[in-house]
Amino acid sequence: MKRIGVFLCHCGTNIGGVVDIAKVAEEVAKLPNVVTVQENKYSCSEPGQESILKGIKEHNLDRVVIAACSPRMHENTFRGVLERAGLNPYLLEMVNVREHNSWVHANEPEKATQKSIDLIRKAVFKVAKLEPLQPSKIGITKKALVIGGGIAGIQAALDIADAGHQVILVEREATIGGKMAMLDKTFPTLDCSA
Amino acid sequence: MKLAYYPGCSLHSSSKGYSDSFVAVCKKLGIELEEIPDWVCCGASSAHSVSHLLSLALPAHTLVQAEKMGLDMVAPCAACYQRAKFAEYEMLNNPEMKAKIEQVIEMEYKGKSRVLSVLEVLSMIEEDKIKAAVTRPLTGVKVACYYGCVLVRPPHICNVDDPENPTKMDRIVALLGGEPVDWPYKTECCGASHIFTMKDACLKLGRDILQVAKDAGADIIAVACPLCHVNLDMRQTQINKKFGTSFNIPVVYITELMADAMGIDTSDMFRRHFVPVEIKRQA
Amino acid sequence: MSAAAQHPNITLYTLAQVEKVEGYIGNFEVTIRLKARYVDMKKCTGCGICETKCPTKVVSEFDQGLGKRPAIYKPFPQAVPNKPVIDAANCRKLKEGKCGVCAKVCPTGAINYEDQDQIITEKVGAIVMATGFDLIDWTKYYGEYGGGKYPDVITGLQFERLVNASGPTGGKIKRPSDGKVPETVVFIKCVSSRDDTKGKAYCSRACCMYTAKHAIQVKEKLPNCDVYVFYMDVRTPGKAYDEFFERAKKAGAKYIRGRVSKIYQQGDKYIVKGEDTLVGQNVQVEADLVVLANAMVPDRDAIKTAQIVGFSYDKDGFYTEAHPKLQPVETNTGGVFLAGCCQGPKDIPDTVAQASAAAAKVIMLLSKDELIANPMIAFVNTELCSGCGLCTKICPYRAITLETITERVHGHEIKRDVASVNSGLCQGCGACTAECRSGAINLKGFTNSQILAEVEAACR
Repeated sequence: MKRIGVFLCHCGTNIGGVVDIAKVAEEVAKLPNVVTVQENKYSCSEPGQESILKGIKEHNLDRVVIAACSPRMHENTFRGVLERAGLNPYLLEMVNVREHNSWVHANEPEKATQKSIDLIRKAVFKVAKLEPLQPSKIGITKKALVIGGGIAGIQAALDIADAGHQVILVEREATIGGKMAMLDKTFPTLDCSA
Repeated sequence: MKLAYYPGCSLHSSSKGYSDSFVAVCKKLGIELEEIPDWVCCGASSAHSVSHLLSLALPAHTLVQAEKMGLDMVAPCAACYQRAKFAEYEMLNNPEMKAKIEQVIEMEYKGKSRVLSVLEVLSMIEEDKIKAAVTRPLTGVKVACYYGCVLVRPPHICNVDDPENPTKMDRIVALLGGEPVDWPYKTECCGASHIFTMKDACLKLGRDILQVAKDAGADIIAVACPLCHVNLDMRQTQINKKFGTSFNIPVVYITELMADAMGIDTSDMFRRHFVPVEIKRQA
Repeated sequence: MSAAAQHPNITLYTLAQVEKVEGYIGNFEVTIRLKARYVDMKKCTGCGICETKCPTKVVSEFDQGLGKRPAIYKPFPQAVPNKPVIDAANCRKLKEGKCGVCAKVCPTGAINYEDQDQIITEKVGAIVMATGFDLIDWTKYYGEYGGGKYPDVITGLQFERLVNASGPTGGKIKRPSDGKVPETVVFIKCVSSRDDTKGKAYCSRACCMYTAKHAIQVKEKLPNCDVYVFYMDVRTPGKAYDEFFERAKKAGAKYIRGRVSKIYQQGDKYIVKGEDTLVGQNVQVEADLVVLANAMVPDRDAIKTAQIVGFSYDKDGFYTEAHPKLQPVETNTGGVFLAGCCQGPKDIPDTVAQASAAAAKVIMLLSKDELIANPMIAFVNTELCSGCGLCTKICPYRAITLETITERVHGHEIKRDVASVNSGLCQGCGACTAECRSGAINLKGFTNSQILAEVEAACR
């Protein structure tokens, strides 16, 4: 049997102002393998993360569902929480009930609440099937290529080179300098550009 | 090539010379024209100021007649062309409007017939064919080609030529042996329909066009729009009087110029002009 | 510029183009074509005698068509490297086999007409894209401004050359057509930018400021010259920027809010017709010189280069950042970073800031000994894989190849092809899993059974 914890984020009023979180909690608690459902005002905040960490340990969870914002925002944050709790960080499923739900359905809270429940149910079923993943390691060639020798390329090349790394600067034309070298003076200080 | 011919009101009255020359030139170049029997006024320029639907339904009615004939439709008058093109565009791109228009005209447009301007038709003819038809080349005649505003605009609908620097008429003049002059007022507005309500402003617009053409060294102005013609030809005397100028620049339809170069008798066409038409060829 | 050439850690290849990029973050293999220069860089001292003796004169690209250069040339006096190159397309010796003057006058025998392109490969861990911008070819879109037929209607970059001390006029502002010093200069902003009907919908960002700079420069060099600037809006957010715009106005530039509808020649003047929308009237200026602020567009090779390196670009050809706010210098391809106008129009301060940001990302990457790779990548069940190869074609990152495996079937040893995923290249997009007909390829974290569990839940 899997032990799944579901954490519902209010995101202030971003989610909580639209979705009836208490109702969602009540429905989600009935799903198979769900051993705890908890709420947080801001899951990504320091106390939010601590409470998830505590929840994982207290209930001996082995799978976590977090219903909050887009995973592009905080998936890595919450993976870190799982790791700190001793879980494989890939045993996490995030449900986007903000961008995909409360923000776009702000005027229909009942439907948004139902949609939250539906989305979380999917995640609960999926998270049960997740397997621990191990990141692989790859070596690095300590050398950079900069394509284009204008002001951008020159600046990037110099900074990387100053840090002690080898840089190959490739320029199509016969000289570096790009458009910048064509300019006379440059705003707002009117100093020369070459 | 056979086309359905939509003369419109102007070409049957004030600009008869445009119609006569267009028909004669087409005959000479092997384009068969069949006048649409039941054509109606395109509504320019009053209909589109009062009712969008009416302004589309009027030319749509004529376009559907052409479609029934199984032909593309040519409208030499720039206003008829533009109004018909709007109707075609709406019916091809806006299903809701198409349904409304069809309800009004009680006919269906299948989208097969295209609306063509005189410039598009003339551009379809091979250069050699036009050159071969020329018997009296316009040697040394400097022509300012005046396209006006509606023929090439708006560009996403009337995609006839470059909207800011059209050249199709210039090309024809060159094929006739004439010298198209490069001038900047090709697409300036002549005032057209505002002449009755804002006469002073329109006369100034006409004056500017004539002045710039004259400065560019033009002997003659070629047009493809009955309203442009009226404002530059008929009102040239008024312009001279108001501004103390002494313009005496003949304003002819591009097809009249073609007819003249192709040896067609143009005396009756030119008789209808206010500024006497004299085409001074160089020996 | 010279700092970059002299830096012991920088290898500079000019006249060079990247032709192929293989590999993945931390482990790219890059093929670079070094074009023939026809001048031996080791022997050449950069003395410049060859340039003075070359009988050919062609239009100078560096001077934006306003000046001439010989066929053996340095693009400009401070060029880096400061050694000439032969323009093969215009060199008489290389085209017709005659001439050879530069070889005769060269005191060190550095000219080599037999020079060939070279192909080299380099291994790198990170790539910074800094391919820059071009100005849009406004002549195609603006027939009403003459479409390029008036020599004195020029671009902002051409004006830079006119006003530059090392430019074709030695820094004197003169008309390209007749060398006359202008009495009236008109600047027009937003020509083909902020104009989605005929140019580009976006704002080119640098033009408001460089036009103000040009106006100041005209007033400094020609105090009696009238300067008019036609604008739609003045956009000068930036440190000391709005003050700079005020300075242009104080210097005497007359700003007119409105578009220019037409430019045409009358005598030796250009009539600029426009509208002053603040007073609601048509205005007409008789100008000697008209300078257009054109839209910045990506470099002419930008799309080709993006395809070679393997990352995405937007509808205008600008390179797409991984996230507009949180990952502005990264691309969606690991190890490839963006700097400058290749990502979008920007001015010099922003370009420098972004370049340093990209450099910081590269330094961060290169200072690690090994890289933790995202484990949510595709994997192949070789028992199910039929070796059809559909996944190799659909993969946008070229991460899947077919490899031959040997198996024992009923006591016989057989060889067959199966798909193989390069874990460094795979970005976990999942395109292959949808393409695979036998269900042999799966994405970790999004396997078919995991997704079907979601479907089952959704259908409840």
